[in-house]
Amino acid sequence: MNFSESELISEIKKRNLNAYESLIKEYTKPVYYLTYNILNIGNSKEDIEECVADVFLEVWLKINGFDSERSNFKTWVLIITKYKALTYKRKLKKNHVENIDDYQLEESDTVERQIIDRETQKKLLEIINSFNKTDKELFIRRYFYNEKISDIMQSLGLSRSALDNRLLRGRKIIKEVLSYD
Amino acid sequence: MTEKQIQTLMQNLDNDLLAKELDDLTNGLEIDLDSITKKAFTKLNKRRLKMKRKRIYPLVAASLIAVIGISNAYAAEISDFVGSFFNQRAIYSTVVDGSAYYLESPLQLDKESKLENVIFTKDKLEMSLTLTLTEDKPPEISVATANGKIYKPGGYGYDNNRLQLSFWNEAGHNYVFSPTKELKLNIGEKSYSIHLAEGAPVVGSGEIKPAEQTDIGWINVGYKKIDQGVQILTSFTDKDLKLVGIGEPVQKTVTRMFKNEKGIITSGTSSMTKPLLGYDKDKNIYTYNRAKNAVGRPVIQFESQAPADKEIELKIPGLLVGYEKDFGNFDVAIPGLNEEKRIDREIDLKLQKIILQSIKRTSATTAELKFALNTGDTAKVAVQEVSLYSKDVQSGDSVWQGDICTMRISFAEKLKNAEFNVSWPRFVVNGDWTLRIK
Repeated sequence: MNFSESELISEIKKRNLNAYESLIKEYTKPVYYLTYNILNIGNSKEDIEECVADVFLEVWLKINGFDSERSNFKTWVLIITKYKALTYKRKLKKNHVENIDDYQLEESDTVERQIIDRETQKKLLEIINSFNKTDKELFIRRYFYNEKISDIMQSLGLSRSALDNRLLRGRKIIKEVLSYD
Repeated sequence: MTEKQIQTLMQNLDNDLLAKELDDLTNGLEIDLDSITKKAFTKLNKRRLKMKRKRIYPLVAASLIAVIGISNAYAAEISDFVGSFFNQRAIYSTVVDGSAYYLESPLQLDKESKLENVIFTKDKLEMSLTLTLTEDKPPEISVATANGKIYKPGGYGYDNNRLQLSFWNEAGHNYVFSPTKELKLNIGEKSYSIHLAEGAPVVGSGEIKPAEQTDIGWINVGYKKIDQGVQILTSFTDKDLKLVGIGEPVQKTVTRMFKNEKGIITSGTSSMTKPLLGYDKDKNIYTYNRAKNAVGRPVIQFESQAPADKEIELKIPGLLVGYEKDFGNFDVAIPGLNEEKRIDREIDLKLQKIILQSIKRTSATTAELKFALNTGDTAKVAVQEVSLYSKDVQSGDSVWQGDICTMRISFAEKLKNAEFNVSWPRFVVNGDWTLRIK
């Protein structure tokens, strides 16, 4: 059964199990990818799957706390993912302490969000797709998933300055093409 | 362009635009959607079905089916088939045996609480309330009937401000009820008079049409046409047998758990079934879904977009059925560390048999029991799950799949012997019934 995003939210609120199944089907990929990036070092596939499953349960349980006026559903799901994965990471590696503030995602500005039209989105993806493989991954992980710079550095094998340069160069290109202020 | 601006752009990508990028990024990652789905549902079920003390029926809350009037249409020539549906009454979108009462429409009790639904039959007293709990447990609740009987919660579940309660007869320690129209609901210090409506007989004005004959003689399957779809009816020659669900189970693997912790907490996999499929003579396929918003158990009302003027061949691949009864106890000696003992104890569940084959001590405080399922000779019946409970152990988790059940138990290190109780088996009956709906 296919649901639009608003239907999905509404049906989860009504406790429709088909919507739960649909949520899992639609969001497993981004949730898994983010979880994988946080947990993959030293943890098993089983741990990652448990964490991903917990994310979906949490979305189900906390759906009434989601405010579509304030945030985007996908972003909200990924914030939950990030917290859940970090909790798992702490639990699985008791001596390793992460600062949760490093992962706090700022709420997007609603007015700003409203002016982003589909054409702009398509254009943005075209630009990102024109980047080389590393830069493309870098942009998505940094700006879509809000991954920590240090984690991306580690997994892509880049120095801090190399990573900053790549991000700056990419942002400049995007700014020019989109004529963004 | 600032980081925030690009972050905003990226995080508001439409899903379809993002999908391809994610495909590229996740290329090479092995994502097992089935495994994640199973785990997510297991977690949800555990959460939803957290119950205490005795087991609980998932609570009913649904719209009333089309009212079926009482008629003597069949009185003169009642076939055995139609006769088998006598004594069944329709409540919400399900049917029950014998007299039955239900709440016609939700009732506001006070400013904070609302009685959503009640179902009161000879073996079922369940209700659903909307209220906010101030503690992690419901307030003192009881139901009193005019004849002086008192019923108390035997289990509860709480989710999203909805309290689902299953009552039992505390004096009799059973689920034997004397259903009545009037009852008094006591919640904490407050008391409310509740008036219930009587369920309508199934054998009434609507014609029940039988399914095409199958070689399973102990279940009758038929249907009635109703406003939006069909109502599928079943009756069993074994009066203890009850319908659990219609259609093929969604989950092939079933999990159950119990925990002895401040009472007994039990949970299990959902008994959801897949939608039914109907075919017209041109081989067009129509989906028959369980009635929307019907959460009664078991839901027998199915809706579809199939055209009313065409004959549809509706396939029912199977039924979920079960006994809500106790099958007795058996003892298991706990072996020494790293030891495995052969047991080969047969357990007869009437419709099928299972065998406890062995127990293996896996650590100082854990052991694994292996069961062979479907060892009886009842054709087309497969054991889906059985409640195996022991008060002697701390917890038990079982996985039921195909012809095998593996149960892991945790216990105190000094435990020498554990007594298990066997009850409430559930079966999948693969009947492949066909209803010709005109």
